[in-house]
Amino acid sequence: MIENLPRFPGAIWLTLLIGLGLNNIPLPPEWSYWRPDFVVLSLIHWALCMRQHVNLFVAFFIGLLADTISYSLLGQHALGYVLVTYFAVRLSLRMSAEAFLQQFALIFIVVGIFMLINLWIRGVTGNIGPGLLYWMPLLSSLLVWPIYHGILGYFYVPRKMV
Amino acid sequence: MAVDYRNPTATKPIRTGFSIVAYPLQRIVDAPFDLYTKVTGFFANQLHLASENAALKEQLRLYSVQYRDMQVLEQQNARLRDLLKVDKRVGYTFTMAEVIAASDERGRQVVTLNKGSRDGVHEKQVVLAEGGNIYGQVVEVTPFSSKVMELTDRQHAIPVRNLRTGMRALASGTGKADILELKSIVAGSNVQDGDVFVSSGLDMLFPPDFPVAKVIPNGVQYIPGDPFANISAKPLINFDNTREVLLLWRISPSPAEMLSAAPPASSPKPADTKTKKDEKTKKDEKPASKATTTNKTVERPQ
Repeated sequence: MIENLPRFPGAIWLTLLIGLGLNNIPLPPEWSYWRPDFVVLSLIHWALCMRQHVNLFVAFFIGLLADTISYSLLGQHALGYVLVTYFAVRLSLRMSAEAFLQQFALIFIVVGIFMLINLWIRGVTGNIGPGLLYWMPLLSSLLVWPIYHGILGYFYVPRKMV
Repeated sequence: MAVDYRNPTATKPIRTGFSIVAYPLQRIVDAPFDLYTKVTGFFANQLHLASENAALKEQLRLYSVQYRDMQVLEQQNARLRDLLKVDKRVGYTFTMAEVIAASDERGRQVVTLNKGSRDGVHEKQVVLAEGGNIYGQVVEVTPFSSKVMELTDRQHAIPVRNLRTGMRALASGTGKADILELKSIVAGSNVQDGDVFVSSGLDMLFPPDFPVAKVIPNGVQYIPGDPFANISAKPLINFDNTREVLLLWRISPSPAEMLSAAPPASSPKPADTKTKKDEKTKKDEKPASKATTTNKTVERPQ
């Protein structure tokens, strides 16, 4: 059996922080509508490759960080990230990690759930976003995924387990 | 989440803690842009720099003379006010701060500055942008950084006054960087395209008579049956391009002193649960939902 291990201690933390950094690079407004949530993609990546090492508390902590950075409701991103990790781990058990179409389906579902929850919370707190443009990251997540998945592949090494 | 929504002060320590943790990350993300501005500044054209320098020197000379004149006027003003037994005029000091990050959340227009409580920044401090236009107010302070809510945030509102007619209104943010909505203006009142609105200072937070927004062409719209007009105005600053802002401190007298010296004609609204100082605060016509952002007593820490 082959199990993946982090390349160095703290590799998961590093990728999550990189994702958070990518989320906060300033972009012109018409571009930022297309920005996928890179933390979500990182969490899905780790759920697919190393589901034994994924920690819901880490997801929650990163979510709270994201909330303070974007000054959204405290817990909005945290809840989203925790659910993303949970669903990604659950769904990843039902598919082969190498099949690309299956991966796309998983990302579509998981990112969709994440965005739906965010939309609900915003709707309840009276902070409603701009119509259909809100859903654009769903598409761009799929486009970015192969590249991002490939880059994050550097951060783990496969090990043969006895 | 519910706690944060209902009672934001309860979760403030958590926010501050996480902000301190997030600050290095924000600095790292900002570093390439910072480097870019520095490098382009370093390699700027010598001729261009020289001409700019000359122009700035000339401007400085002009301003220094004007400042001398101002000082004389200020002294005179203070003396006259003393004679007339009017309370002293509020003065201001400024510090420059740099925007290092902006919120990506839709509808939120919150930016992070690189000055914090170590530099004397406090909550509900007014922030100005170039040209003395109002930028926003500080909503969160950590030792190294602070978060500023821009005028265009969905949860922000500022009392304004029409420069031409003197009519008062409330400019609330829409979540878009270039549109402010003017609320509680009765249909049929005298507002035209191109009218400039300045802050009225009724909230005791924003200094009066600083420019805020200008009504856009075709910005005044009436819907049949609606007692109020729909007025859209454009802020006088480009929020997306502003990198340097001015933090503003009031210097004596404090608003509380001013209020106690003011004649009782201002008729404060009876508020049963508030403290005595809160009662003295002049409440303007702001709806209660906006009260969390602007409509509070200004406490001066220094």
